[in-house]
Amino acid sequence: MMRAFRFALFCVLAAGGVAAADLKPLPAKPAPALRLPSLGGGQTDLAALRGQVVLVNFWATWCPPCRKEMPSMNRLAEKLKGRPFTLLGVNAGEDAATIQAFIQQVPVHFPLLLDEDGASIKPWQVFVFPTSYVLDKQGRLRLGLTGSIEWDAPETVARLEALLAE
Amino acid sequence: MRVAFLFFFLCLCAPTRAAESINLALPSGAELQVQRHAAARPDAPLLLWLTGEYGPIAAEAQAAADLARRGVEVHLADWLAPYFLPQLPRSLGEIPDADLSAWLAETQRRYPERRLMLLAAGHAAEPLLRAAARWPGAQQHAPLPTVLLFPLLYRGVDAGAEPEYAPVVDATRLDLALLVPKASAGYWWRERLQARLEAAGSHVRQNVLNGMRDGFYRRSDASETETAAGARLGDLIHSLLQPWLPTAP
Repeated sequence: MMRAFRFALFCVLAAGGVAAADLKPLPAKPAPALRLPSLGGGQTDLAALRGQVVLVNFWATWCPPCRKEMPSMNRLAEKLKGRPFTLLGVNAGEDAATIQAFIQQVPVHFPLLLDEDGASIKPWQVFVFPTSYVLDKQGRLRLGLTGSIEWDAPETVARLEALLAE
Repeated sequence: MRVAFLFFFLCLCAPTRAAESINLALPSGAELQVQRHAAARPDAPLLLWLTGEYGPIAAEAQAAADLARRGVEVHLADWLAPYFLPQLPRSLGEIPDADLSAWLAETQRRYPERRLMLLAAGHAAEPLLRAAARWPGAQQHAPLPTVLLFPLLYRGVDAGAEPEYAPVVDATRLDLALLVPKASAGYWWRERLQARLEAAGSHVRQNVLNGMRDGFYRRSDASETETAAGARLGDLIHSLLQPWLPTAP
């Protein structure tokens, strides 16, 4: 039993996958640029989302905590539907076929962007997976998170609502 | 040709010598139990392997036995047991530096004719580097050959900030071979780590492992590829050690 627990802990910690975290406030500064191909085709440019609160989530299919938080992000996207809010999932280092195979198993109801060569990793300071940032309507970094959470938990939604109300 | 092949096959199938236990008294008063996988030659290079936060792992013991069969003696040491520390990453920070370096010094004293090499994985890289940094023998002739498998050397990671490396990174002057699985966050920052280690005076070479994650040989959710690679861990480590091994006469 103890061994199983240790292995589970390992799964979320060792491979750059981190769990049990919390959103932390960040000094408000302009977010790095982000312009990437979308999984469904075309390009997504973060600059075009000015005026919206944006959650940018960096993830990979091999990362267990990333997979774990996907359903709660789906629910969050549904909960804030129709509001000035966008959720972007930036996949780092994997090809479209790998991601397509993944979403057959774990459905994702928000836009996924492809960063196969990891160009966004350094400017966005992604040192573990998952890493998430919440941007305000002016495109500034406001909240950050390393690790996974339940994104539709009331306290998390309340923090996003506060940014939506600004 | 057939005879040569049969001989080679029999060598591969030769039963591994059972590991023996060596007990070392440490300066703190704790006692370290080392699992010795002896190589046949008395002058075989000796790999000191500091096991990690998960205690003894079967795949590591198997790899040690495989390496011994291939001529590299391996001493596997579980450093949490002597202090009754829980099997958690933070426990590795509680191992006394003096005890760690005493392990290296005592091993060299017992086996003066052997070339020492070091190995650790994940969070265990940090105490291993602490051991080497404190031991004068690590610099005596040439920087000590050291293998780090998917080293995790950050002090802590927060979104929106560059994480600090453990202070020992700047005190490390070793001949390092790093194994970096491609499916890991460390892959994207491997050049940063290499630059930092080289700035401190280490020589660094990196090997990227495609299709693997950190801890691939000890994961409960290992893929088929990872499981297969775990079964060949000894071969993998041997290939990393190869530049330091004596060439056959």
